[in-house]
Amino acid sequence: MSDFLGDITGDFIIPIVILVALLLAGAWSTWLERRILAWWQDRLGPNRVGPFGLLQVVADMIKIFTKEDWIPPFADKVLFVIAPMIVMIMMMLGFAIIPFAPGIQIAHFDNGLLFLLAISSLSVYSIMLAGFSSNSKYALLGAMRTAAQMLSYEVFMGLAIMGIVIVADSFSLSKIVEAQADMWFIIAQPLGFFLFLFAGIAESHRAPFDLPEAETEIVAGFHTEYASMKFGMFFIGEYLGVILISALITTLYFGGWQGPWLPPLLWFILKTSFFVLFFILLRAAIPRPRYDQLMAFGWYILLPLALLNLLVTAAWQLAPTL
Amino acid sequence: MISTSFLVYLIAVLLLTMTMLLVSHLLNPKTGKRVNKLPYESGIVPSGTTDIRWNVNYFLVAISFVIFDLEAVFLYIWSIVVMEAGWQGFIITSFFIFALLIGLFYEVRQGAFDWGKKQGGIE
Amino acid sequence: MIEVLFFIAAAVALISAAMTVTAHNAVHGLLYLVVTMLAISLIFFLLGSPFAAALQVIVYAGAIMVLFIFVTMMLHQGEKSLLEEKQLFQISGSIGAFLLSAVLLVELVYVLAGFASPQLINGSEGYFTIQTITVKELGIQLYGPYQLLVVIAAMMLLSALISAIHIARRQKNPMQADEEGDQTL
Repeated sequence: MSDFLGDITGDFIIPIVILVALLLAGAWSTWLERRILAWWQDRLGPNRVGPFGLLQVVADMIKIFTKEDWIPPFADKVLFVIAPMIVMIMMMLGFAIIPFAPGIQIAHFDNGLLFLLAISSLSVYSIMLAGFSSNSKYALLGAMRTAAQMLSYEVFMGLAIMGIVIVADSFSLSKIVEAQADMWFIIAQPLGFFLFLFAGIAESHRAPFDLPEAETEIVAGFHTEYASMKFGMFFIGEYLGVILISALITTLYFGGWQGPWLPPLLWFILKTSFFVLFFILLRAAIPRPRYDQLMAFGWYILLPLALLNLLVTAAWQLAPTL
Repeated sequence: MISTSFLVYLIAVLLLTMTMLLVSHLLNPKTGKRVNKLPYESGIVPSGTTDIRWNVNYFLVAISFVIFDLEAVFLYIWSIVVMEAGWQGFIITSFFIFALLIGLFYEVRQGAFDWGKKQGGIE
Repeated sequence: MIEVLFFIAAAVALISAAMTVTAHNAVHGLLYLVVTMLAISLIFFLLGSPFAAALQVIVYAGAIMVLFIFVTMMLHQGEKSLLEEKQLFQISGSIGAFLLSAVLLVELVYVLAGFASPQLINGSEGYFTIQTITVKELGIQLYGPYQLLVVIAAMMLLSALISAIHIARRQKNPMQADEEGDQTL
């Protein structure tokens, strides 16, 4: 009987709870971002609806759900609807391999990191399809920019993570967390961490690498023609992306759920929140580079550095066998 | 193999996204005739088509991505067997990376990633 | 269970492959091809090679198809290309291909019928003997006895990179001089 209960908890309740928690976290991080940006800019931010404006998210949700569900008559209708679904699904699936705490993990893939890379390489479709199906110049321009940016930064995102794989000798995220019992990988892989951080910001196209949505140049980029919940899905997808990258940074470089005194899950949430706040700080503090600078930075500097990092890490691991 | 929890999660995610779109579709307010049958171009009447002449650099970025992604796949395999492959594997991989770095260097010298500059072409 | 999943994935792969050929819109066709790749990836996974499955997604669905769609988007001319693409696929022009693939289909059905005969299913070994190959085993092989392949791959990728850039560069050619004034984005 207890086995049966355990199966129910592990197989059904945990995934559903994680899903709901992620949705809530994604929705409320929009509130968090607005409040904290306002605070750093000496403004108030949303503070009218509910205590501290916490219910602003609910108000936004009601508004976004009751907006006109507009599919432009000039758009490619099927692709137009599929595109925002892809980004949500891919970002959510990314969380499946994250070890939140010992035992709290949806999928125990041995090749978790490869699964993650596959997911991140598929998420580019949502942007390309959104831009293509909109049949609008700004959407197409934004989509091409985003796609080129994501492709450029995806190459060395994988290579940056491989430094960790060399040290931990496993693709499995839970094994990587366990390997950090004595020392966080940020110490062994500082260069890899920065490479992954840059790649992560560019992949989730957040400021300062938010050129795809540079309002001053190309309106809203690939989602110019989107309205209602379909726009909302891109929006939540972006925030889920930020949380996913933060959770990955925590898992790969900062010991995951490991930490003294506090329960593991709390440690994980604390570390992840720290990086979410860091992403928001970046948006408040750093101006946007030019597009050609962004591409040059990726290809000229970060890609060779990622390759070099890999070689140096391997040599360091192999050195004792000489 | 695939665990039940992953399948449950996958189905839940799919259902969730579809429900979100469906609910928003059901709550869709009916509006009468509108003039929004044109692409948004900051409020002015749109001009031209989406038939844009693109910079060839976009193509170069895409093709370099494919090539370096393939390279990365070899390095993914190597990174899990660094210890087993030993120094011999290290030398092979160094050669591999070196060859691709030459390619990258050549590409950079040819101006593949110089966006917005006037391109001279090959002499 | 695995057999059922295999047949579903195989059916999806076949149907979407047929849709790839017959779709009027080039981007739709490519998306069906992506679905084919994903279905094949699932088959690899079911047959016990998660690494091949991951590669199928990362390399084919995530890189090569992205390149195809990317380039199609670059060259797409809206309604004009849609009209042109409508005329590209004609049943009359593809009879040869249909006949040849019909031969393959007959062979496949024959083979499957042979496999699906009762004695083999109920026999000691099912036709899916799943042996999971780990990435480590693969890597030890690749960076052990087959390391020459890595060197050859390096040279191939290098030459691909160089030829790609030479295809894309504009030659100094007086015939194309009038294009210089064109606005590119």
